[in-house]
Amino acid sequence: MTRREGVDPPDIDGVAVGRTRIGLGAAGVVLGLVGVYAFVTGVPGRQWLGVFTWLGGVVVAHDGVIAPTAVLVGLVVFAHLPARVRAPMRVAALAVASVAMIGVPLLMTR
Amino acid sequence: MRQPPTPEDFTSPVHHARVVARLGIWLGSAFLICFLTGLISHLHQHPIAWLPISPTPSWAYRVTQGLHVATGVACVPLLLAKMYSAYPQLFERPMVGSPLRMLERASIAVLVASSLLQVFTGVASIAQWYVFGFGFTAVHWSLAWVTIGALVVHVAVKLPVIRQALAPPVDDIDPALAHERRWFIRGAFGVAAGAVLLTVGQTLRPLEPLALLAKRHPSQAPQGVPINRTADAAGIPTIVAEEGWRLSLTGPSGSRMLSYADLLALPQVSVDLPITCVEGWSADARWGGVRVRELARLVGGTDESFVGVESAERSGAYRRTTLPTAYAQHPDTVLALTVNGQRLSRDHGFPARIIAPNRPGVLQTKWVKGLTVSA
Repeated sequence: MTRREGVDPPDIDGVAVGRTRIGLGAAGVVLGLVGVYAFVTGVPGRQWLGVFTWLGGVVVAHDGVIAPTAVLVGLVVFAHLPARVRAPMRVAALAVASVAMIGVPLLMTR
Repeated sequence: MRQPPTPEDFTSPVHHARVVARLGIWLGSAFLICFLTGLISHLHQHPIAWLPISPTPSWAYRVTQGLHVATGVACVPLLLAKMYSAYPQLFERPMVGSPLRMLERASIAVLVASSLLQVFTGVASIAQWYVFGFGFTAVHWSLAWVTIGALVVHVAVKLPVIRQALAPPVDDIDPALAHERRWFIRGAFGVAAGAVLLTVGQTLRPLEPLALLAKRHPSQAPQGVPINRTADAAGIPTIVAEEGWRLSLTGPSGSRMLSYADLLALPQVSVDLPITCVEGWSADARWGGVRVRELARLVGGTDESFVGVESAERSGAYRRTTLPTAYAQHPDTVLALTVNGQRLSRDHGFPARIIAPNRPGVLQTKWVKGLTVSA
């Protein structure tokens, strides 16, 4: 996408925005608003606090616990491994995390 | 005190924009499949007059819902990998910045929160772990739109970065780094495929022995069909005797009460239909009973009639369901008394349950006590 001087408004990075992006952005906002409408009309008010708490909670759990743990493991363990081993180990760690996330609900409901 | 890290502090090759963009394509495609198949499931449960769902083919919901759950399971590793890969962006400076930048960060916050919660509530509910304490369907439904909307906004914002990242590399990058990047992308895909392989046996019978991460194993279930809600959980009285039980039929020409013997005296049919649960499992079974349209005729039902179904369960969102005209009139829609050659067990809905082609399990009402036939 080449920037057309005087036609495309600049965006945050000073790169051309273009009609595609404006169109996509607008479509995304509309889709999101459908969700907001469905939420407001479909989810009982007394559950809202719970939903917002969970929305915040999963972000805190990921950005504050899961991702930093992964970074820490990378720094402490993986950084000292030869690249040949490091790459598969990283995937193995992803597999363990995934199995845990899928497996915990199964264990909790046994 | 040390400052928070900046994106430049994260030196691992898996944080490279090329990795983020490629994982984004996989994850975005998975989200789109989940969204579309979720729409179909929603339409089944909340029919729209101008967009009716056909009862044929009978296996359609089995495929779309199987795909929904399998793709949702694949989202677990894909989402973890994508977010790990993009994690350094969280520390980009300025943290707040211009209004447009704030808007961008806000859209990402919405995307991250709703994506994580969608995948979590999905994975929890296929195990029937309702730990979140809010109604699953309404929240999963509305957040699906929020997630897909935030995703589209995210693509709009990142489009130049994505294009650059997907273009052939201009710089001669270190082969060792390229090797690690490739490993992570392919590895994430491999873990996603593995997670699907370990769960999809709940609906794909030949893979059932591999379904170590699946909740249900249809071949081991009583009468060959798994049970999501037991009679006790539904508050069905312990003893329902055939002798005392009556089916109430109400229609344009009046009401009738049918005994179990009355039902057995009507023409019996046998249909081979899969039963598919919204939670992703499905099982083939042979059902025996009376055609619903046959019962409807007894109380003045016509070719245009739709049928309301009432269950004896005490509470629950699916205590009353409706068979739309196309379903009520379909020859394979049956008030079943037997499954796989045996009388329905209590947990399978004794004395009678609904079975219809191409229909979510929650709408295959068990413990039927009444049918209301429209004109």
